[in-house]
Amino acid sequence: MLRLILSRLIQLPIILLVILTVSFTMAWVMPGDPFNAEGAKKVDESVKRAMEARYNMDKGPLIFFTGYVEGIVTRGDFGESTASSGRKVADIIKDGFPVSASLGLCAIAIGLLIGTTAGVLGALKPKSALDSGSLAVTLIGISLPSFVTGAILLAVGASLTRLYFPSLTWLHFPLGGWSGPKSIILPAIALGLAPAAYIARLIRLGLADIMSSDFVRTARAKGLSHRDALFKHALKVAFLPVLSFLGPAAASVMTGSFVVEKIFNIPGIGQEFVYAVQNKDQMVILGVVLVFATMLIVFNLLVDLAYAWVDPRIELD
Amino acid sequence: MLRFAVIFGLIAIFTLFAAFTSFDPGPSELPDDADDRGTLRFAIPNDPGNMDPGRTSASTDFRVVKCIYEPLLVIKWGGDGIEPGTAESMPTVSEDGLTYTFKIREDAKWSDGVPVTADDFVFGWRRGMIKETAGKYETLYNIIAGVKEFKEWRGALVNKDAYEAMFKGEDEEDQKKKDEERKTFLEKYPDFEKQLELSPEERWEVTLKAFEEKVGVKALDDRTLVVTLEAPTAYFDALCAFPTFSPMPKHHLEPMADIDDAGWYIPDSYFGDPDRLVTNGPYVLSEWRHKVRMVFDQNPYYWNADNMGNIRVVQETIPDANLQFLRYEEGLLDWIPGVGGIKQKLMEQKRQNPDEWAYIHNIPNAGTYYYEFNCRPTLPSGAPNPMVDPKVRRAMGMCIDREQIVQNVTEMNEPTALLMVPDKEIPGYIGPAEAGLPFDPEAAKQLFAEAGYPGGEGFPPIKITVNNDAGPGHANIALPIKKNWEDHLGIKVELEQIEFKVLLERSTKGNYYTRRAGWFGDYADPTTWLDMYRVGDSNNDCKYENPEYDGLLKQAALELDKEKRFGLLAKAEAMLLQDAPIVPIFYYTTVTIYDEDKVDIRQNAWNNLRLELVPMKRDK
Repeated sequence: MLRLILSRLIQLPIILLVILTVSFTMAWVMPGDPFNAEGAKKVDESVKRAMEARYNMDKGPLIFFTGYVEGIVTRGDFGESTASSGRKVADIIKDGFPVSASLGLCAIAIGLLIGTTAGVLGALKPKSALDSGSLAVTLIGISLPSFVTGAILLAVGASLTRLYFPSLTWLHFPLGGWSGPKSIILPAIALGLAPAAYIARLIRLGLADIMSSDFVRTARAKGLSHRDALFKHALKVAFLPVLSFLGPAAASVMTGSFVVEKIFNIPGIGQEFVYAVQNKDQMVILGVVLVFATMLIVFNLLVDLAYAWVDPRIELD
Repeated sequence: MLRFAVIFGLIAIFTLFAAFTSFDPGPSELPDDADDRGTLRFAIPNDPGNMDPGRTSASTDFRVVKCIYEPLLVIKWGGDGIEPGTAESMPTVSEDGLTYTFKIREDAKWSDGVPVTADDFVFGWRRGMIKETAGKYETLYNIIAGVKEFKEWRGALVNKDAYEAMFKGEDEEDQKKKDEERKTFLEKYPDFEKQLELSPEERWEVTLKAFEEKVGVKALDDRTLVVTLEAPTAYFDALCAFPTFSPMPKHHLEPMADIDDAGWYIPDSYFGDPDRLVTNGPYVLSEWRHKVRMVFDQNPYYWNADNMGNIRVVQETIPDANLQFLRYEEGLLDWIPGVGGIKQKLMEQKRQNPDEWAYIHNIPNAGTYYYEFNCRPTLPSGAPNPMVDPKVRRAMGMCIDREQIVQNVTEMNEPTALLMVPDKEIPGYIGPAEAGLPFDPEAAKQLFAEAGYPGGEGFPPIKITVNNDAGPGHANIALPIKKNWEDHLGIKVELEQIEFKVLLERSTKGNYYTRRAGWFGDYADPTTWLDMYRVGDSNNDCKYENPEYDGLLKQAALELDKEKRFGLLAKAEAMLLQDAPIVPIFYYTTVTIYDEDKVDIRQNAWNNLRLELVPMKRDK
């Protein structure tokens, strides 16, 4: 186990460097330039050159990139945004990441709760109305994009409740923003529905499979009820594919969703990447890519470790 | 099981910690004193990009920059006319119209209590002229005597690479041209190559000296600023009210400046940092929670603080138009300056029920939506460009049914535009109405035949290029135009949708047939539109070249009489419209939301606001 963790940690910087190099190449060859991002008015060539000199971009991609990596390694300096008043990339991440991460974890928790419940309910009485009902709901959950669910949630939870139940203030969810625990609920549901649907289907299908396997049949033969066999034996096994789904899902949800953050006006990191690409804001692009890649690697490691806990037969080394 | 509980527990604790440390506590309480003035709250879709007055170029950024910096003059509340700002009176102008003398107010102070001096203006403007700290609007300084020369010299002096890049040709032929240019440059500045060898600090010393010798901006004493212009400029007053011409606190910034091989500069991060900023406008930036809000509180040292209508401005960043509207309805906002995606729906509501929706306004802007034709004889691919013929361009312009566009496509009923300059928004200027190209398919067909393409025969297929990253709006406008051209001229047109930055790059390289474009005027003068189509202007992407047109503009620039000057400019505009490198389609409008009875914003075509004068009562 320790060896696994160590080797992954040693791999981490190498993988990150590869990802950085690839992203940087793409960001560099992408058309446009960071000093002409918005508006129709163009910046004078000589002004552009001088700005490029300030940001060390005038001597070509190689020097810029090595300078950037050197800055990270020697000074922990992730550079600054060219589009927004020289804001430090580290500050952008420091402000946005906790927001996106906590929202994402809440969304995953909601996804797990709803997904597991729906999956188990379906598996308890296969082919019943409950089963097809939960399957239908999860299908909708997968197909509905978050900008639809988000807008509906906002309209119902924040707008209609104020209109029709003016006295029930506990039902009045905030009109966007990131101002307290109540402001997490709606966006977390909007963000958690898609993973919930996924998890429900994984569990429902996994359970169906496992419930007809030999060891469950043996357990049933020994007199265990359908319900006990499901909860005590099958669910644990059916959860394995969910675990491997959770790793990348958590990483992606925690690094922010452009759509949900926009609809609910949440100052997370999800919008940052889109705006940075639009503005060709190189160092912000790279900084956000770094965060995302690190999250992905760390969460995959966590999933592997969790696997070993759930199923001791799996050998990690 | 226990292990799981521990892991989940840890994750839950982390989540709670991350959430609670990142929650937004809201703006601080207003200071508790007898002042019964309150807060003006409004929302914009994107976090401001650049708060450096020398480099700002977005109109939303200008709005807040104007809250914290005050130039010599300011636009009157409501947008009609100019009045003294940091200057105590309007400038005295010499008889030849070249020398302006400003007297700075005795009580004008920076937010740290230090008086604003004439030197602060020299310092701020100089910063806007040197290339490493200049922005998109640096060309505005060109009307001041000696600036162009100073900028050319200094732009090369930044460092060796910049100098080499200046005279690097794209191919062999271009290189020859550039070598010639280098020769003239070195003849003009014989010491230049020696100066380039100096250390960055010494180069800066030389720069300061050159500025003093060459540029017509001088501080006679602490309170007297004398500006000499290259040529008389009728709109110099308006420029002095433009945020690019704001002062900078020399006493505060000079020690902060860095000098290295990339030039002389103040760290960019200074301009968004409430802790370090020192400003001279009505407000100070007291909080900037990125992507959430900016809070501007009254500057206690502002000379006119007693007459301000409110003591705080809160600008919220809310990307979603629906959410902005919900927050307005809930009473959390006083004003939405520019409504986004839902404006058509709101205007439709207003048409049906004008009284109930009286707080929704559709305000015409001093901005033109137009199509630009590539006037180069060939495309970069070597293919001949049929748009080079003015007759072709005119015929195409005459086929555009503007009414249909503003009524059925944009659904905003914008004023249709036959003229490039929205003359209604410039007092005294009368555009050349007869020169426009109204919708007339029959005449267009004839003209097209005259150009050698009867019924579209022999005309190569062309493309309309629009950007689609701001939504489908531009493509929707292009579709009826495409159909107009196909139906009336019998040609083949393809619609091409690309990102805005790709569109910019393609325009610069001349890789397009016709593209959408838009231009908002910066100050109330026709030249803010017309100057773009001079030979060599950096915005003349379509490479329209007409010496006669340039001549008229030059003549107008030297004309002191306002009426005669406007007459010359109208003549130039007529020429532009007849040659048709551009075809105006409509003038932009802005949908804005505020209750006139409660919030006296006085929004106008030029977006010239005086937020500090808007009276707001404090909620008790």
